[in-house]
Amino acid sequence: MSEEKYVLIVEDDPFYSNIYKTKIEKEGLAAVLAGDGEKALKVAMEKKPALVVLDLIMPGKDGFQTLVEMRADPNLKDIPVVVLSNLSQEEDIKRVMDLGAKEYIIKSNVPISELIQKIKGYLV
Amino acid sequence: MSLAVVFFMATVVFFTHGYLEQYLFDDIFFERKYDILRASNVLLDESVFRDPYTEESQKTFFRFITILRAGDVIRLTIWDTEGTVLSSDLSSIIGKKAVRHKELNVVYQSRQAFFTEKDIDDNDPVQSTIQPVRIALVPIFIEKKFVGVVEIHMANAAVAMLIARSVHSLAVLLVITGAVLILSMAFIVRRVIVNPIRRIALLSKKIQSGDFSSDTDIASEDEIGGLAGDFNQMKASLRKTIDELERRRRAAEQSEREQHKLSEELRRQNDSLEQNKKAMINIVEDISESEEKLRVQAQELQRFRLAADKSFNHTVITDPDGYILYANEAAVSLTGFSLEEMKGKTPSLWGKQMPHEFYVDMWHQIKTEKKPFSGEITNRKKDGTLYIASARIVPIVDDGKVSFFVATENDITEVKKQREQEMQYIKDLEIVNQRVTTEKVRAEAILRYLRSIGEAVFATDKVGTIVFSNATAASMIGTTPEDIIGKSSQEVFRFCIGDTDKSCDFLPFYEAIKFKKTLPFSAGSFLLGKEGKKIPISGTLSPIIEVKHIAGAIVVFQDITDRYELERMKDRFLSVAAHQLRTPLGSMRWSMELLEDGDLGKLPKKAKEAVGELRKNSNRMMLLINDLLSVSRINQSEVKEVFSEVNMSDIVEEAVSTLQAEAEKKSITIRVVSPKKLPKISLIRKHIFEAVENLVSNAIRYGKEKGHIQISLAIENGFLVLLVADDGIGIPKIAQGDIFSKFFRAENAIQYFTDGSGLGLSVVKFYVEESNGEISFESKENVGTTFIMKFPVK
Repeated sequence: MSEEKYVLIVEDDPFYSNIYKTKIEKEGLAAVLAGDGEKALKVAMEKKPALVVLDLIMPGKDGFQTLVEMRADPNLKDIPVVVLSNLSQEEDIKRVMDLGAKEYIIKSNVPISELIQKIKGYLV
Repeated sequence: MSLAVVFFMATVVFFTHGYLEQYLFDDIFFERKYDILRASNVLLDESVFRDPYTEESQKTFFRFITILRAGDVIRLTIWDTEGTVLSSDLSSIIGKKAVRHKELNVVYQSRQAFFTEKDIDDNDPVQSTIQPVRIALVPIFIEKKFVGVVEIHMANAAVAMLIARSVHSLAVLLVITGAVLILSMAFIVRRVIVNPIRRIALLSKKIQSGDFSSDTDIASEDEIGGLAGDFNQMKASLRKTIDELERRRRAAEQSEREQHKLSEELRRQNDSLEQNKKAMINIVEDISESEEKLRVQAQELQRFRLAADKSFNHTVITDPDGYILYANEAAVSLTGFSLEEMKGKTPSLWGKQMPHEFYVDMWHQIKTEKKPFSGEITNRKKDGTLYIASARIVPIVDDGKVSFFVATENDITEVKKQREQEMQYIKDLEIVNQRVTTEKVRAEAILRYLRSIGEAVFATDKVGTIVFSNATAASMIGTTPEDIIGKSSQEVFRFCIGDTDKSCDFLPFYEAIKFKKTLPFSAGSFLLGKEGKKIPISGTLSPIIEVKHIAGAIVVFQDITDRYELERMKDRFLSVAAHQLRTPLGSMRWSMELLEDGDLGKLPKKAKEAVGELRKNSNRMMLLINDLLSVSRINQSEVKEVFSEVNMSDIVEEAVSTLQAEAEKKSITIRVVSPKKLPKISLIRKHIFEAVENLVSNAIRYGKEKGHIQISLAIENGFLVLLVADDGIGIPKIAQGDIFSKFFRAENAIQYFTDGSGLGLSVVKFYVEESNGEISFESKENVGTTFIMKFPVK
């Protein structure tokens, strides 16, 4: 395992996760995929990511719960998290931000190029 | 001197009628006693008592009775020592025996004269008349031997009349005084029955020559001296009396022979001058004694008068016609009129304030009916002040006639005023009481209403203590009104704003009192029910304003769990719907982006154009979805944002930088004009940012290629004014009235830019007004549009 920085992408929809991975790696960054919260936490514990891109609606452990558990774990609580979801309710956004997410991005409102730029920004 | 005494006595008699009456009565009887003693000495001897029923003896008794008889005597009886009538002016009882004559027995035992007053008893066989009389029983002694009793009855009225006469005038009194003297002199005449002129002359000579014993000092007494001087006058009176006596004798006996015999008898008596002299001395002594008595009376009466003068009560005495004869000091001070001013006037001097009928009735009562009057009369003082008097007027009736009136008054103006004031207080209290009762009834009705309405209601005083709660409110926290009244509302009713546990310290009563107006519970308010269950509620909190101060607060709310759940469901639906709509759209957009960018291999030119078109439409669709979500949220008033102090130029800068790229695509230049320093204003930042961004975005969208947008900020008349001016297509006049309506799009806008949802401006207007701002615009088609936002600066 190299020591280079990588982005943990937590996304259950393979279409999205593949686009993220393709685009991120195209930018010369490393990316690891996790299909649900459980897997994400496991991966994060094994290999500390530089950034977590977290979907909210997922089977099994959802994004909210994953975020809560990350915040509760001293080893994970300082990892920046960008939430990427199509949920747009104020309550959801507020909840996520209160749990310490760096940003909340509504997937469909943002062109993928802009999203990649934002991710790159967190890794610098 | 004697005149002065008499005058004084007249005055005194006037005011001490009753007292003097008794006194005079006793005095008259004393006179009788001496008359009897003397007459018996002169006329009677033991032989008549030994053999009383012979013609000779009866004649002697008759003469004796005749001498004692006077106008005031109604019955004369001579008793022996055994209770048998020896002689009487009522011949039918002569020789009869007395039955149960207590007074007579008293005299038999005491051998002293006895005076009394009584109603004649029917049981007494020797009495036949029933009337109140004064009785004198005088023992007769001859040669110191008790031989019998003389009983004299005098009518009460007769005595009273005598006194009344003396009361009315000095002249009458003088007559009484004269009559006393005449009686005394007549007594002498009766005893002597000889030529009175000669006898008195002889007596006078005897007195002048000092023949009387030296202890009768006539010269030392003014009155006696006067009397001595009046002897000549008395001679005439005595002559008249003798004539009268002789006439009566003639009438009584109808016999010249007996008259002659009587003269003979009297002449014989005349011979014993020694006896006469003794009698005269007695008379003089009697007179002296009488004078002494009068002086004592006068002193006592003076005291009475002083008492009357000093009496606290206003006292006035008038004659039967109401003319004032006397008024005491209290009357003077009460009415303000002096005694001189009052005398000879009637009390109308200070009266005449009552209706005429009142005085008519009053006079009828006291004068005609001769009954005392008492009542309240309004009078007027000399200085014009009216006063209310409690008055009592007593008619003094003598012999069936009113001889004068005694009136007393008491000024009760103050008492009356006080009483009236008390009555007024009572009346006021009653009114207040009535009002309180009415209020109570009303309050009870309101409470009944509040108790039975479906909403939860509780009220607190100004420190939050619960003073009222209905069952609905209490049941929401699992208790009863009785259990919570008097408790602190913040402990009993815990209200939370929002869904987090931290914020359960909202104090509705405090908010209502602080803001002095009715406020709604903000959306998302909860009541902490039993077992910590959060009950969503809606309602209002109001201060209870009493006249000018706040007495407490009333909180009305209802359980909106059902509605809340429904809204939550709607919310969830919206959330899910938005998510589910966005997810495939997002995939599509990103896929197109990948295609367009050649990430999936280079596309032929035509295909790339088609993908571009697809992307444009999917963007439009995304905008539509977002706008729809915004509007539906606004309509539910679910979006609750917080006001904060914001610098407007920061918002403008941020919005411009967000849209800069877009503007550059159309080579539009954006210029911001702002004063260096702007005051911060209070608004909902997020929404105003969206509003500004929307306006600038519209300016770009509907601007021409290479056009200009100017955004300027300024302070005008206490408002912060934001202008967003473009030189774009403008708004046609026909469309200007509708541009803030939902889903409205002007014709030219549709042609120029097909993507718009027609919702943007309606959201902008809502956001601006939500932050207490206003929005307006000026536009001319094909020239440009300027939107104007105004927010108040504190």
